[in-house]
Amino acid sequence: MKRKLNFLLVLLLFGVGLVSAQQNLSVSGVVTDAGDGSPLVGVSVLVKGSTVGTITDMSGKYTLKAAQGATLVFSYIGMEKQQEIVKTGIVNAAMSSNSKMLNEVVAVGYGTMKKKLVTGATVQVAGDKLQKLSTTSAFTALQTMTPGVNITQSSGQPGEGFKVNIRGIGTIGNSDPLYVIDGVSGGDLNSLNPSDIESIDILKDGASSAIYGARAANGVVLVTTKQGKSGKVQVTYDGYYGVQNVYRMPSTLNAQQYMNVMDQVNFNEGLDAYDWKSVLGTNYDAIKSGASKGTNWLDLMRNANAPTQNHALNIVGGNDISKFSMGVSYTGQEGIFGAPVQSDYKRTTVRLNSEHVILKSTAFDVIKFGETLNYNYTLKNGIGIGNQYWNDITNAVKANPLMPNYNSAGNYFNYADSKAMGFSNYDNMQANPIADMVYHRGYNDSKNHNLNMSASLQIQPIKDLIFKSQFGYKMSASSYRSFSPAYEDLSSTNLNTVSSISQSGSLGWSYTLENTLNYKFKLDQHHFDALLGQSIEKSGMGEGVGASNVNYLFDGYKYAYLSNTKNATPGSTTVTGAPWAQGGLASFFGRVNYDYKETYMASVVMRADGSSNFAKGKRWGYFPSVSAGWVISNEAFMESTKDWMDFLKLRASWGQNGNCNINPFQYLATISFDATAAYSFGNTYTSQTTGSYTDLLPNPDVKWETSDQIDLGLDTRLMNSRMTVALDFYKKTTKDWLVVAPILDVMGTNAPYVNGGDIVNKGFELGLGWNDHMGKDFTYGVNANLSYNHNEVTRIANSEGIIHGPANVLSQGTTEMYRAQVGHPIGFFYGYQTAGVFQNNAEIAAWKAAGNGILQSNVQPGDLKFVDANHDGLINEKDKGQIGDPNPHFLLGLNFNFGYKGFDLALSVHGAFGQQIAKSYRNFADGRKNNYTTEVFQYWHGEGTSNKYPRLTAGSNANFQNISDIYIENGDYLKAQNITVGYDFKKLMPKMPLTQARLYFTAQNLFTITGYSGMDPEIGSDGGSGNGWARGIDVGFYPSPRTYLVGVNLKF
Amino acid sequence: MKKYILLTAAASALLFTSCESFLDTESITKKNTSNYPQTVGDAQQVLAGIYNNLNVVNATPQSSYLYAAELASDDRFGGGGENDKQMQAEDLLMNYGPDMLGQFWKDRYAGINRANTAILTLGNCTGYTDDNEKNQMLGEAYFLRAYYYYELASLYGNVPLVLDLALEDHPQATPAVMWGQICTDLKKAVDLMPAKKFGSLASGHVDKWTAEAMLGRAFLFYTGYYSQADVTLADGTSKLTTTDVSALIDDCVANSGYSLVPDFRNLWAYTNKLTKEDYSFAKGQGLKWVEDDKAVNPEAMFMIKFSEFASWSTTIGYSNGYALHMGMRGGQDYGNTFPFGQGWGAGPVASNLWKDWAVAEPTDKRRAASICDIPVELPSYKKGGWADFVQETDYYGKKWAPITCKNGVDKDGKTVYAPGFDVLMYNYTAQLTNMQLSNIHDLVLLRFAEVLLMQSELKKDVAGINKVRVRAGLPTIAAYSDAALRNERRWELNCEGVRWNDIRRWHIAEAALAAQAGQPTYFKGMPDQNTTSHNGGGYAARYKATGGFFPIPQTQISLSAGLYKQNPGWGTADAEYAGWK
Repeated sequence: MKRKLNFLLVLLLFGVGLVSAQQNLSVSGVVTDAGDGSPLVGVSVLVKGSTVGTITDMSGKYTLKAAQGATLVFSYIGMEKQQEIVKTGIVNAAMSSNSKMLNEVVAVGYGTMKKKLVTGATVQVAGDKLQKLSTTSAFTALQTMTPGVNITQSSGQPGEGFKVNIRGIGTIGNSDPLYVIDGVSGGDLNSLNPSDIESIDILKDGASSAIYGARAANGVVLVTTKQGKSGKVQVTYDGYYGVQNVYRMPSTLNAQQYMNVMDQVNFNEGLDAYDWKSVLGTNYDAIKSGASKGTNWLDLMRNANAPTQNHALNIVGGNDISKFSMGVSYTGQEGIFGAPVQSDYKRTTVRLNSEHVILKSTAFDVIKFGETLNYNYTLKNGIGIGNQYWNDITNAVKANPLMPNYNSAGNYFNYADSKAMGFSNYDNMQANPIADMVYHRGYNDSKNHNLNMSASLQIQPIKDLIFKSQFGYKMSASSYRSFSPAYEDLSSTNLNTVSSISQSGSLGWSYTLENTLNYKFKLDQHHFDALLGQSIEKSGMGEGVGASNVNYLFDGYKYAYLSNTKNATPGSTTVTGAPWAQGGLASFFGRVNYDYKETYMASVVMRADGSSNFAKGKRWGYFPSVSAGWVISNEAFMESTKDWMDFLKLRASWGQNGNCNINPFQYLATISFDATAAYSFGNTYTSQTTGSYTDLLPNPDVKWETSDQIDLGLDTRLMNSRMTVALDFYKKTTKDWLVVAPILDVMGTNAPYVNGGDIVNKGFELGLGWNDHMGKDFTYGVNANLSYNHNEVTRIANSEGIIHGPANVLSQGTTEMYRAQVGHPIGFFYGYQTAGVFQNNAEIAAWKAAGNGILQSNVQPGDLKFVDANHDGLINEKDKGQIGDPNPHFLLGLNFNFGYKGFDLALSVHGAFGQQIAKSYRNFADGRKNNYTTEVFQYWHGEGTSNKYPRLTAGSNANFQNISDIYIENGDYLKAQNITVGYDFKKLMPKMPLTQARLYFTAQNLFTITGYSGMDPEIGSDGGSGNGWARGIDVGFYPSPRTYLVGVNLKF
Repeated sequence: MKKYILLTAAASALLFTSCESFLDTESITKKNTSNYPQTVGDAQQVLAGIYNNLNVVNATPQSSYLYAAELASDDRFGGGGENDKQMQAEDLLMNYGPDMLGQFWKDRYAGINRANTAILTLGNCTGYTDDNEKNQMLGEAYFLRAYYYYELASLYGNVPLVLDLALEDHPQATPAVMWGQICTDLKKAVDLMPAKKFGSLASGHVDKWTAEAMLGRAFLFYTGYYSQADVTLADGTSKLTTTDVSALIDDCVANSGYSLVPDFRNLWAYTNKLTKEDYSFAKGQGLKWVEDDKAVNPEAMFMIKFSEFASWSTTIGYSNGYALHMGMRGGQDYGNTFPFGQGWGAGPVASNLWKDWAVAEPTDKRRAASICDIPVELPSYKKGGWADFVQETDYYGKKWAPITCKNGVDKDGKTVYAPGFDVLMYNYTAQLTNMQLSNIHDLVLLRFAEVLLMQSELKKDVAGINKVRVRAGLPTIAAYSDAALRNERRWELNCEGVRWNDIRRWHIAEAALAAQAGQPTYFKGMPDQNTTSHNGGGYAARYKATGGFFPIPQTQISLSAGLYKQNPGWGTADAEYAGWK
């Protein structure tokens, strides 16, 4: 036994072990690609029913010994498996690519299925397609390939996340889909290198995702990492290096323009022009003469030619006993903004997957053992990309161009310099934004370790009855450190004489144990595939600690650790330590797939989930689904279409899923003792009595939310499978949203989650593909997808039917600007509609005479006409309404690829249409002296000059301080996401000891076609306002870069 | 083969685990109402949680009753910058934004929820040393609930009365019911709390005497404003009369142990030991701030306590937000405004107060002790704030102002100032330079001097008034008159949050406010007049329309589905403030 184990170990480590036995005939041959006749290297050739096998050499040849009449099995990645019977000593084989075949297999949750039999709406993306786009995150690469899935960057800063919504936002809570990586739910796709991914399957409709029950309401993303394959050990290296730059800079005013505009504001308000000479001191002459244009702060913050690089080494191989796949990768990406403390992201991944047959019968594997292991480490640091108060991009855009960055001694220009120059008399609040960034947000490191692994045992006691048990384990650890030094005052309000350091760390784990029993059988032409399963999952076994303190002992970030600070200081020293919130999920599920002659299909799924997030008696939810399919092209009456239509399938499905993703203990009136509830009796000023309060109105009835979805679909392949079409119509109704609906404040505590709303998403998805070749050498393909989604909130369970958004999003002192409300799309922009600008007094008089209200206290020509929607002569809250929808209506993905004799050219385009963006790059009332962009020149400055933007006044004017449609822009865009041209030198030098040596050049984000005036129209950000259901708010969005890169793919 | 099947079946059976107990979880970081509060230690935490509401409200002072009462009264204007429209709106009794005072509504009801929790549960806790301890704590909870309702009812008029933790509709209570409950709670507090003299409790806790004093304030407002002779208590039958209240006030004066601080100026922080000798007004007068070196003020009966735990993100309310808001506007050098610190310029003192006072009581030392005549005291002061100061005047309130002190010299030999003397006096090193969190000495809400004045007002005699006058260095008066009492309250208690309800309950508000119109002010640093007629028709018109009640938060009315009614005078074009000019 021990010897056998050692043997297995050897197999595992070296991948291939070949066992020879006595045979009586020497067989040889050449294996070629049926498509182009080229020899195939590394094809596995196996004598069926034995362990005898070999692989083809560099010229596609093989030799082995086999008995006459034996069957040889040829297998090769990406090719259809082929069998040939040994008749003579020469057996050649021509293998054809399986991409056009209808036997593609897709992941369906706890199993796989032939794609042609699938009755739900799923989409599969192969990992190599993702990898080809050379992106740091697989999400970016997915954008053009997945109809119905809206993937939007939540920031362009390296390492930041994405908003992913499958078929629209279905809830006001967490609307992310469920990620299942190698069978373990709840991973992070961003933590994988695209080169680790074998395939991604997205389950979109209710029936496909029903098998994941209470967590599948927002769809499911199944990620399979690269698995071992039998055949020659294949080593690949993929690497690229590139430089990134800002695609489009906002055009801020230079010093001269700025002074003119500021004087104009004063003039319009009846104030005197500024005495710039006294403000500018010795810089006056240079600025006055135009020799100096002042400071362009954002430009100074630019990190030109920011490098990005990726290196991935993968080894895959195995035989019919053991297979393995391993990979290591390193990714590094610098941010394009933030100099001299630009953001940075580094990721290292390690993967080891293997599978071993422990007991084999003559016909099938009886006992198999498999494991997957994914580890990654990320290191991230960044600048402020949050709300308007914590955003270095905005700070730089709005900073005053008259202030220099450095003083004469070469140090950051600070308040003392400002006073010496006279600048402080003009603006004593303006702090040097670069110094402010460096001191407050420049020094931080966030480190994350993730381990995601599983072990599975598969037992097949009789043919096609498979019991599988899988144990999944996830561990994550993180640490964070930041530092803010003491510095000399930057302005009258920006000062810090106390250095501070904060550190935190956390560590935790979770596990899943699932058991499934799968039996496939047929009765005559009736095929059955039945699955029964059970799983338990426990999460949140972990804890975090954190502390911050002031007054360091050693200066510098390098020394910024808590141990290097002085003793604790009341009010400044904070200490936290808490366990993670534990949760459990217990589930039972079953599925029966049926087909008759692969022509009539049906599938029934049932899942029961018990979630620890709910009170006893409310825990269990049941999630059924049914679906059916009909391959019409198999019918006799379709005979006449056979010559142009290869395949036509109709699908229909209905299913229910749940979402149990809420904070636990909503059913209890919990008591909090946090630091905000204390009181300082006595006169010490440094001691407190801990206070307690009830922080939740309990809701013992709270339960999961349910999404109910119907889907009608059609798949077809035309003209010898050159053309593929997939079309889906769906309606997804999310009922009983888990929502914190506002309650009357007199209740005196926080509102709990209630099942309090409904939302409907409906739309269609169309995927079109055309892949063909012209002549022997030229291949080309076009894949296009278009999807449409309509989102509408249909119920919110309070008397208003509204979930309010927060105030102060676009600027300090502004009211709510987005909300969820019955009859509107979720997160719509809310404010006043304007009907242009009053051009003259006659228009004002006519406006009043018509009975319209006026918002401005002392209205003048050049003021906005705020629409009096209810025509009551008064402009107030009742006149506000929807002024924009941040949710895209149409999504477009286009992929073109061409191949010619080793050359390849590919283009990916991504577009979103129908959505609006709310933008402000400056403060309103509290930003009188903020800089403007050159858009300010479009403001009204006399009759007929503008009928959109009002006259130029300080932001406190009602024209600006009220949220209206002047801040809303159309966000339609079309991005040339990726253009790649490559050449495989193997074609030029067929003798080289590599099977592929491709060199390529890529341009990412080469151009964007949009009418949007900001830096980047792809804005998943909520403006830092803290609601996942809000998006499209640009208060200084960190844009995605334009990147040029060069890379190689080497395959040994 | 059969063996395999059996094996598989057995394995599955083992692995299908028992589920329900698997799903049981326990909250590790929080307790809940089924296991809390149980002990006297728990009870102390519940009580601290109610007091904490004073700090919570103080975190957004601009939305609070105290702030609105100051700005709306004839003591002060709104002030602030053009963007601080809420300050001006409160001065003008107008509305700005959809939910101008919504935060206070939400916060105070959270405080009431905490008080209700205490009242319903403290009696069941165990481990009290004696009944006195329990009753003292319960009494404090009753007091705080009454105080919070006092502020709510004064600010918004008819507010919902919530005395339990039930999730049910709570309609707006009538004034008779609401004030009946306030007086009942205060009476209960008086009865429960043991008669221990001032000094026996840690500073910050209210006692029996504070409850008596507060009952006087509530009784006088309700009977005055609503023109009632007495208060019907919550049981619906028993009455609280002037005689009853007068007896309680007498008890407080005679037995509480509270006393007047001998020199009026020593009540105010500018006489602290770190500042006074650098401040010409206080220099060489032998003054000593009553709270110097963490001493306890024997005149302060109820105050908001602050601490060094103030932080931006979570607990800004642990430092004095009123001081910050009412600090000198414009971020100018401390030297220009010394000894007054920086802030947002809310509530410039109205010239009419200074002038009326000078005419009525020209020798009153309290005038200069309470109000800074800026051109005289601060010749370097720069007008205009951040070039946007609205309703700026030449007068500045000293009582609640942030007070700075010198802190050595810098490398160029220039004087360095601490943003607040507090940071040096209390060794509050974390905020050595941060003027926004540096004010942490007590904000006194009720002084013993007011009790003496209430005694006179209730009994219509001069005993109380004269004690106050003598302390101020003024001659006594021989006979009681309402006019004399009202003036005395105005001079003694101006800019301390009580004037607003005084002018309302005496029914002189319209006239008093009208006197503010046309007073000299500065607009963006330029001489101007306090012209208000274009804003809702002016002060008197707005008061007439509203009775001095501010709007109930609109979102609450919307959420209530018709349960709440908006106050008269709101929701019209006249009520909306759009900007000063």
